[in-house]
Amino acid sequence: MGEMATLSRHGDVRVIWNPDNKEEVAAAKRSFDDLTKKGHLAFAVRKTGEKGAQIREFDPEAEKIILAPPMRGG
Amino acid sequence: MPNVNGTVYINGEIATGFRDLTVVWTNWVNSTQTTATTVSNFTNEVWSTWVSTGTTSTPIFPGNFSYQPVRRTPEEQAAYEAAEAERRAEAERRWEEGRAEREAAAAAREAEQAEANRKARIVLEENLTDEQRKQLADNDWFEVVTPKGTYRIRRGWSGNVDRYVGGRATDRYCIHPSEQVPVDDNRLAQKLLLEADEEAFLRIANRSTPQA
Repeated sequence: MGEMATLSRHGDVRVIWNPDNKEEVAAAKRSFDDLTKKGHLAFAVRKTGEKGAQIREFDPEAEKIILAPPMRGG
Repeated sequence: MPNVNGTVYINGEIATGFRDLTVVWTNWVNSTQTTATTVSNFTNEVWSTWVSTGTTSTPIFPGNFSYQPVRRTPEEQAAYEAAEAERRAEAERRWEEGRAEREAAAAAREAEQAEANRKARIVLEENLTDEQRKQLADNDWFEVVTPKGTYRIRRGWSGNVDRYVGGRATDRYCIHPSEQVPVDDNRLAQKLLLEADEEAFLRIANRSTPQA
């Protein structure tokens, strides 16, 4: 199962999809596209916590995707 | 002062229209003839000019205001104080009535924040290596190793990332999400960006030197 967590003020919001289910994949992709268009950063991560990679296209085969709000200097 | 063409002089200088909103005046004009008397007045004074046909108008000034204390009879003073006491009691009663509602709302906000923090801690721990997880449990910080050094991510919203070179903290970085998230989500975002694109992290963050 694919999993996407969006970091937000309420804690993370999770979307789960079955890679074999086209509707679920499409819904997850829509969420991904909506947020990345707003500037969210997307990272494909491994469940072991090892170094992830930034992605710009939705990958339905990713183990886990984390979306973070845009970053800025403090 | 206004003239028949609508030019306004304020403090001796021509103003366009009536820009100074502190100058309030009313000019009634007769359909056949208008006259406005030239007067000097301060822009914070309120005055009215009545004009009549064929005569010069005289502006009416309110003059200088001075404070006049209210004089009451003893009976009137007692009634006034009683009314004031009643008003204060009513205000206090309404405040007390709203207290329970306000406290419930505050408690709900605290519970929501606590739940968000709990979820953020879970997500952070899920995305750490075993070593980072141990560092977090022992010290409330964890380290990310990159080609440019070791970054220690402490608890905090800003200025919470220190780079260590040769065992010494050489740089401090301030970078966080543009919208408010729980502090552990902030740390996770910092970690992810640092690992995926250290150059971008360094470009976005504000750098300072840690105090000795």
